[in-house]
Amino acid sequence: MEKRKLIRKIDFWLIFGFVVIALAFYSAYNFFNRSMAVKAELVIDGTTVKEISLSEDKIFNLEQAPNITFEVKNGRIRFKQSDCPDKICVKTGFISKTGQMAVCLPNKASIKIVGYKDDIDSAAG
Amino acid sequence: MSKILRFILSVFMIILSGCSFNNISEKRYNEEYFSYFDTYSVFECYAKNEDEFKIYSDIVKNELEKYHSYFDIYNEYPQLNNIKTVNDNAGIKPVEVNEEILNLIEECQNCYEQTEGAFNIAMGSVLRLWHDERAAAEENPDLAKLPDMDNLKEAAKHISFDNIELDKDNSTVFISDSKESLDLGAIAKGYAAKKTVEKLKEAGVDSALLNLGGNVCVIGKPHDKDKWVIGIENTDEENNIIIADKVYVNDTAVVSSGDYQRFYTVDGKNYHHIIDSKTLMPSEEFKAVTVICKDSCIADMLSTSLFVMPVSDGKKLAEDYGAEAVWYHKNGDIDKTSGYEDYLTD
Repeated sequence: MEKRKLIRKIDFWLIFGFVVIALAFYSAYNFFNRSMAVKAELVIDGTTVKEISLSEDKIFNLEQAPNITFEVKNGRIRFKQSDCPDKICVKTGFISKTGQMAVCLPNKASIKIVGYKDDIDSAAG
Repeated sequence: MSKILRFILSVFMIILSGCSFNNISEKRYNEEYFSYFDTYSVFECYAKNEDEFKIYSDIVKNELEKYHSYFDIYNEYPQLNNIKTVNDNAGIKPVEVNEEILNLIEECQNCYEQTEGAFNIAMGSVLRLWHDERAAAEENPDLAKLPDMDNLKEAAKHISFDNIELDKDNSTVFISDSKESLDLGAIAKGYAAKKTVEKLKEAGVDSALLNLGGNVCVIGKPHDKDKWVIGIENTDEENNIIIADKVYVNDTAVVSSGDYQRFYTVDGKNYHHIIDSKTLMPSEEFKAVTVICKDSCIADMLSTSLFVMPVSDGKKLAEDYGAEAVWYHKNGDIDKTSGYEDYLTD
């Protein structure tokens, strides 16, 4: 009769497989978390109408807010132009860090930087 | 497969499935509000589902709406005597107000004495002149001008707190000087945040964040870490807003006053909205002042007060209230209270 082993060959491969799968998930999670770091959420009247990566420079408008021009430059984003009277949104300038926000009250539009969990939750300013 | 191995694998699976429990049972939701205190507000909170979150976000909406109407100086509301009602009756008759308005004005009176006039809600007449010029400049930037100094000086004759008469027995406020008026803009958001957070706690919320236009108030801690991380804003050379510091807090308010968001430009120079009662002009020394304090109402009051007084006086004042603060000078200097650095690490 064959002597009983603690771990048979099949068991070894099974464990090995689990470890590989776990590592794959872990690195994928990390990778996506990091790639999320430079992203902005554009919210118009309470609805997120666009999520935009800050890795590519561009100037654009949104259908939902035709009177506002947004600009992405060097990993930062801002209200470039707006038809609002106070221009507080434009004066805010570029933002780039998770949790930072720029807001246009009259147009009910906001830009929020989202990403890393270990970055800030909100900004006082 | 051996029994031992089966046992080990089961244990592993149980542990692993446990890892994700926290994240599945409660999700982080957020809601935004555009209509209150002339600013933008965000509420974030953990809830089991959207319906539960709706209960909490409705509390926030109701509270903000309520306090917005109490402290409004431009609009009247049915069946409510608010600050506008009090102002409209200056020099005419005492106005009966609810307990919260009465108590807050009394609190402001204490702060007026404590700050030796640096914090003064009776400066409505002066603030109105600045506000009107700023609004006119928004309409037509080419014609932007400063308020006339003679008019400012005339208005400044009517900013004494001695003319504010509180009658606790009859719940009335009376401004005895007909040219004087109240403006609670420097404390309204902080008070509203404090009261809203109290209501949320009563409703069972133990982890949430409320940001009323830069006036941040947190409950408990987030689920994924031990403390809330709040960015302290300042501006760089190009006037872009940057995160100058990160502070780690629980059950605390973090409030900033800055010169960089609400301002208008005359002849290439920026004039912001925080007016020094002594010079009647926007104070020139700081870009931003941030206060950390358990009481959001006090934090709000302090951030405005510290903005218009020398750092040495400000440090003493902050200490009196058990608050910490950081000052960003225009010339790049930074001042801190002794305990501020404790908040910079997790």
